[in-house]
Amino acid sequence: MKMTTQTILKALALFLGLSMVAALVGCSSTAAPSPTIGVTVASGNNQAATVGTAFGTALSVTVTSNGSPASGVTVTFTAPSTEPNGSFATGGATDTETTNSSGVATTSQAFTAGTMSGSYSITASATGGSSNATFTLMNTAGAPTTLTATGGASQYVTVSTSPAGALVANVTDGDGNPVQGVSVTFTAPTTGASGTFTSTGNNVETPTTDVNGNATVSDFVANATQGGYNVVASSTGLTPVDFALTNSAAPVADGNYVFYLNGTDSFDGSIYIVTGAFTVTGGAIVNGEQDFEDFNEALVQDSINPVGSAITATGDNNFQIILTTCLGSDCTQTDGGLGVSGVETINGALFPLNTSKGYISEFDSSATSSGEFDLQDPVAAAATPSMGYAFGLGGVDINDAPLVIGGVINVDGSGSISGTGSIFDANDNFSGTTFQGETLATSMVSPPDSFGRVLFTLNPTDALDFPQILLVGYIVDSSTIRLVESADIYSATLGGAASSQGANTGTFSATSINGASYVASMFGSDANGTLQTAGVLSFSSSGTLSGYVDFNDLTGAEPVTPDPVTAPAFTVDPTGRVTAAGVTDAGAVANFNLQMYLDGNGHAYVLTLDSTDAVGGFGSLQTSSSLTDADFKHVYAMDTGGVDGMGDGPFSTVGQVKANGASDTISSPASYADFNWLFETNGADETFGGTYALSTPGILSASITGLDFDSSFTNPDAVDIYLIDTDGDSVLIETDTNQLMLGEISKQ
Amino acid sequence: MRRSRFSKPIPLAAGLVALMLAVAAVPLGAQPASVAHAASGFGPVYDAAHEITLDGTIQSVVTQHAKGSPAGMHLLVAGPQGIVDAHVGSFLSKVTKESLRQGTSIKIVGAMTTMHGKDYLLARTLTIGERIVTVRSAHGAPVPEHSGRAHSIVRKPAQTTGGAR
Repeated sequence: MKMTTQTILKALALFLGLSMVAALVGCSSTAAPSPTIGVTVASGNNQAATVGTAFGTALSVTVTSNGSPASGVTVTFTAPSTEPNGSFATGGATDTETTNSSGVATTSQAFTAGTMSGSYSITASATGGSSNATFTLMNTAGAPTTLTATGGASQYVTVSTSPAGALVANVTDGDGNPVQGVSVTFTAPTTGASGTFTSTGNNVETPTTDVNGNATVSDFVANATQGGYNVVASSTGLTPVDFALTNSAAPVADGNYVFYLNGTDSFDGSIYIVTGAFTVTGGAIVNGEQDFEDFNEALVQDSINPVGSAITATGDNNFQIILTTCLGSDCTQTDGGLGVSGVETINGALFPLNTSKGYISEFDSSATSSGEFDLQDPVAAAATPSMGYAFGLGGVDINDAPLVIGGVINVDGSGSISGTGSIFDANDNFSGTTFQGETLATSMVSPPDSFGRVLFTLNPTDALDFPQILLVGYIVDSSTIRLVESADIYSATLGGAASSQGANTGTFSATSINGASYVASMFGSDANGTLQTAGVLSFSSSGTLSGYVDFNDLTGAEPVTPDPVTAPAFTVDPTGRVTAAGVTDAGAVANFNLQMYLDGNGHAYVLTLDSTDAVGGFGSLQTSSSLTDADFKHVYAMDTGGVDGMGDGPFSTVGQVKANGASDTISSPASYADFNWLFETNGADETFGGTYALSTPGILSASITGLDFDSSFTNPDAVDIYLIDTDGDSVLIETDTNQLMLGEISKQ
Repeated sequence: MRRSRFSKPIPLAAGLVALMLAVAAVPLGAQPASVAHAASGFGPVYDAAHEITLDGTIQSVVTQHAKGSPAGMHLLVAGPQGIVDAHVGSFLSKVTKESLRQGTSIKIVGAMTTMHGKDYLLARTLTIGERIVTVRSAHGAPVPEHSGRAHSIVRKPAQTTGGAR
C-alpha cells in the first residue's frame, strides 16, 4: 500500500488525539473531588402577605462550598406554577441571583402574593447544589367584600322547632377567598312570625367566621306564629343577605311514626330498603332509629339524631322529613354511608283525610325510592307479635337475582313459632314452583324495643335452600309490621311487610274469599328487565278465578289493556294461603301461577311462581263490584315509581292529585309536587293533568300528562286505574311503552 | 329534567363468572329459536336448554329504546349467521359499556327469543377480550354486574343457580 501525505497526516492526528485522551484520563484520576454545595435559608421564610400585595422581606439563602461561603454561585428562586402562589416583579415564577462574597443570594425582585389565599413553597436552587432551600409563604385573604347565604337560605320551619339546616353566611374577599374572623350579625324580626337564638335568648346572634369564611348559627328556634319572614345576616361594610324562613304548622301530630322506603340507591345501583321509627314531640323529631340494607351492605342499625332532623310542611301540599343519622348509637358522628353524608331527605304527601299516614319518597341524591309513612299505635308497638301474619317480601338473592317470598308466619307461642300453621313460597331467580310450600321449623320473634322494633328469627325446614332468615320489623299498629332483612346467613336483600291475621289465624277456607275481588299490584323482573303488573282478581263461589291484569316490561307484549284472565280453580289453605295455577289470558301471553296470602281484614300479599319472571306485591279487597268513574272524585295522595324508557333510570314521584268524577278529569290541587329521577330531585313542580273513562267495571283508562320523564313531562302516558273502593282509592299502572310506572292513590 | 346518569359503578361478579364458565353452550344455529310465551309467566321464555354461542363483531351499539323491543342496551353483532340483535340489558358497568364499540370482537352466550316477529338474542354472558361479563342468571333473570357484597357480615358463596337452590 502506498502511503500518501494525506494518510500520514491522518495517522499523526490520530496519534495526537489518543495522546491527549490519555493525558486527560491521567489528569482526572489525580484531580481533587467536587466541592459540596449547600443551600440554606437565610431570611424571608414564613412570611404572610395579603393577596395581591408584596411580601415585606426579600428571600435570601446562603450558599456554601464544602462548608465555606461560596461567592459567584447562581441561585434560582422558583414559585409554584399553580395557585396559591405569587410572582416576581419581572421574572414571573423565577428570580435568578448570584451569591455575594458572603455566599448570600437575595431576591432583587419584589415578590407579590397571587389572588388565592393559602400557603405554598418557594424553592431556591444553586448551581451545582444537590438540594434546595425551601421558603414557606402564606397569602392571606383581603378585606371582606361579599356576604352570601350558603346554608339554610330558604326553609320551612315547624313552629316552635329548629330548622333542620343551620343558617350559614359566608364572607369572602374581592378574589373570592374566605375571610376568617369576621363578625356577622343574624337578626330575626322582633314581632310576628320569627324566632330567637338560644345562645342569646333574643332575636340577634353574632358569630364569627371560621377558616372557611362561614358564620354559622344552629340554635335558631322558630316562634309559634305562622308565616314567612327574613332572618337578616349583616356585617360592617357588606351588603346584608336574607334567609327566607316560613313558620308553618306541624304537618303531623305528636307521636311515633314508622317509615319505610324501598328502591334503588345511587352508590352502586342496587336495591335498598330503609325502615325505622322516630318520635315527633312538639312538632320536632326528638329521637328515633332505623335499619338500612342494600345489596352491598348488610343491615345497618342507626339511631336518629334530633340535631339536624326535622319534619316540616313544604308549602306545596307535601311535607319533608330530614333524618340525620348517628353512627350506630354514636350521635357525635353521622353514618356517612347512608343518605347524603348521613342525612336522609324524604318528601311525602299525607292522605287528605288521614294525616297520620302518607306516601313518601327519598328526595336526595342518595337514592330513588317509594314507601309509606304511618303513625305508630303505641299499644300495638309495645306488644310482642302474636298469632298469624300474612307477609310479603321482595328484592334480590345473594347473587342479585330477583327474589320474592310470601307466606304466613304463625306466632303460636309467646314469642315462639313452632312451625305449625306457618308456610311460605319463594320465587328465586325464576324458579317457578320449585320452592312452593316451604315450611318453618322452630323459630321466634323478639319483644319490641321502645320504637316497636322486633326481630323475627326464621328457621326454614329446608335449611339447605333457605338457611336462617332474620327479619327486622317495625310495628305500625295492630295490623301492620314493616320488614327488612337483617344480616343473616341467607344473605338476600329483602323488604316488605306483614299483616296480622288475628282471630282469623288458621280459620281460612274457600268461603273466606268466595265472591271477593282483590286489586293487586306487583313488580319485579322478567328476562327483558323490570316487569310491573296490576289487576283485579275475582274468586267465585264455584271455585274459578277471573279478572283483568295489565303487565308491562316495555316490550308492548300485552295483547289488550286491560287483559282479561281466568283460571279454572283456586284453593285456600287454613293458613290463608291462596293458590291459583295457570291464570291465563285468551292467547296465553300472560300465563302465571298466583299465590296470595290473606290477613282476613282486606289485605293480601301476592306473588307469582313462574319460570319466566318473579314479581310480588300487595293486594286490597275491592269493596264493590260496580265501581265507576264517578267514584274517582276526591283529592288524593299519590305515589308512583318505576323506570324510564331505557329501562334503567329509576324514578319516583309523590304529591296530591284531584279527580273530578263528573268531568272525568284529573289534576293537581296546586302542582304535582316532588320527583326523583336517577337520583336527582326536581327543583320545580310540574304541570299535571289528564282525563279518564270507565273501561270495565272498577277499571279506568286514563291519559295523564306530567309524569313522563324522558319527554320532560310533556308526553301523555296511558294508564289503567284499578279502583278499590267507593272513595276512589286505587292503584295505577302505565300501559304504554314510554316508561314503566306503578302507583298508589289514597284518600285516607 | 334530563337524563343525566347512564351508568352505575357496579364491579364484575367473580362468583358469577365461575357460574357462567360452568354452563355449557352450543354454537349459534345449532338449536332452533325458542317460542316466546310458551311457559308460564308474563315475560319471554329464556330457553336455557338451547343456549347458543355467537362469535362476531359489534356492528353498532344501540342505546335508544325501540318500541316493542326489550329495554336497555342492544348490540348488533355480525357473525356467521348475519346480523344478530343481542339484548345486553340495563345493568352493565360503565367500564363494560365503554368497551362495547363498533368493530369490537365479542362472544355472546345466550338464548334466542322472538318478540313482535323479530328475533333477539337474550345475552347471558359477554366475553370481551379477556373479560367475561354476566348479564343474566342461568334462568335468564337480568343481574347487575356485581362482584358481590363488600360489607356483608355473614356471607355464603355464590351458587350455581344464582338463587337459593
